Amino acid sequence: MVAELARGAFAASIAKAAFGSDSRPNREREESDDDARAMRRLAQGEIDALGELYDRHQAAVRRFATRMSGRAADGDDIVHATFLAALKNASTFEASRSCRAWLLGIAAQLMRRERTQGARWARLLGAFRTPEPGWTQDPERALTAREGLDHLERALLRLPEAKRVVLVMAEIEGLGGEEIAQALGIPVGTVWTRLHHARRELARALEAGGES
Amino acid sequence: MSARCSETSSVEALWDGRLDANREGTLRSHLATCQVCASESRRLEALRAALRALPAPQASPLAIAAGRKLLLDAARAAVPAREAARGRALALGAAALALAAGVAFWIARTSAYGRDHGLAGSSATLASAPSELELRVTPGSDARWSQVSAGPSEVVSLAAGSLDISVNRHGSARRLFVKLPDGELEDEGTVFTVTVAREHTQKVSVTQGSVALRLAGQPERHLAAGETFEAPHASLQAGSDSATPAADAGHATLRRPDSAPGSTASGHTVKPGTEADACPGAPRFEDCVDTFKRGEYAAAAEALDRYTATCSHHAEDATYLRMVSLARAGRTTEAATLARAYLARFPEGFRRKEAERLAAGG
Repeated sequence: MVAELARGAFAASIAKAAFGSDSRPNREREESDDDARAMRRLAQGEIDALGELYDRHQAAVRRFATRMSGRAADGDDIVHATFLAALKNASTFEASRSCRAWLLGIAAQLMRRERTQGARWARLLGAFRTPEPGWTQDPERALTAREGLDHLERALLRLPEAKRVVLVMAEIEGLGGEEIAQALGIPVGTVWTRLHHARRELARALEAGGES
Repeated sequence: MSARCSETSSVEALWDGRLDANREGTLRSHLATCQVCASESRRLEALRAALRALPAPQASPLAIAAGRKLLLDAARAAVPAREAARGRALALGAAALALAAGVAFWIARTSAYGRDHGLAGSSATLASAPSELELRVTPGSDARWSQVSAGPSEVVSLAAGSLDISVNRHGSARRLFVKLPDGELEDEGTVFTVTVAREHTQKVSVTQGSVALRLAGQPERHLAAGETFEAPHASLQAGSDSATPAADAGHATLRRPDSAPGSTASGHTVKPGTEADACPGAPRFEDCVDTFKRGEYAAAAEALDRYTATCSHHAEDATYLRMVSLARAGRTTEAATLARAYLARFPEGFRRKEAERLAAGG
């Protein structure tokens, strides 16, 4: 299954993902200075800086929230809450850190807290929820060509959260081990261990799905 | 039997950037010649590529812009609130002297409102001018209390004693909560008195408007003008402040507007959350829901219209159901108008996303 996913439409992605050719680190270095400046301004109460950070990172936070929850509808709320939490905690941000990793760490905390605080969101009038437009209803998802991705998505969501969050941060968001460790408040060794097991479990799930 | 290589276990470390420069160089050279390790590398590549190819949520530019505005509105509402709180803290000493002299402590502040997930926000469709919430707190001589601004909310905390609270919203959507040792009370446009003793809420008397009273382990109560909540044995616990004799043990007492002040004859005991939910002249909320469930959306909209016009209970749920009913009945313009009203009234509402969509005509 993994090999199948890697063919065709993914060829370009694979090429870019080859060792040393990923442009993310350089781009992030360029962004980091801007982020640090924006965070300093935000800590001083300059709200426009929050808009800059939103422009740069809302897509990553939204993507992360969706990958973690499997529900695109959660994206708006998590993005909103994450950036407001960033405002409240701007003075604690360390300029040497990755702002995006810091934001994703906040998002992870918010999602964990929301989940543990109970099902009130889902319970309240859930029966009357209006259908949600958007990518989750993309007709293409029903097509055979998408079945592999659907399977991957399901397998990802079946991973234990502790492993899933590390995998998403590393593989999808491109964060480094130290960044993930700081964002989640865990030792970097734990990051590598969880990432290794997450990859193995995901690969096993995909292979099992591919055979079925 | 599959081929093996002792270096394969290091490929993942290389992929993750965990190796030093020398080791990395050696392993890269090795990859060029070892099929086993090259295969492992391709497997890792494929997995990353597949994960990155998962369909990403595609927010429209309009939605992103609306989210940005919501965020900045909320942020601007939160920052002045914090500054105001700091200012009030500095003034606390002077205020304490004023309180000792029995002078009412007035707090009036101006802010935009918003929602917050505990934070704050407002709707892009509601880009309203800043509105004012006027809060007047008159403490009893025995009151131990404090007041802070928290995002879109004003929060008064009452540890003991009595507070007379008067709220004039001037159209503000800011929310006022009174934190109690055993729960909270939310203002709904109100003049009311609340008394706490021995870590429990003893009495809440509403003079104007209504409040929602949420005590631990009990259903939410809505008290309208003229109604009084008294805890069991309140008169014993609250001393002379409580004019009404205690209710039956285990039940709270709810006095209706027809109760003469201080009268014991017309006070009556109810189980929490039952009688208080009834609204004379209004259809039952459950009936409105049933109508909705049957798919009779026009009828549900009308029933909910009558319900919300008369009854303040279930206000958020009723408003939301009514807007959905209108939308499904094809009355999209009315639904959008109501959705905007919902967002103004319930900036932290549970259905704000749907409301935002309906407000935008979606």
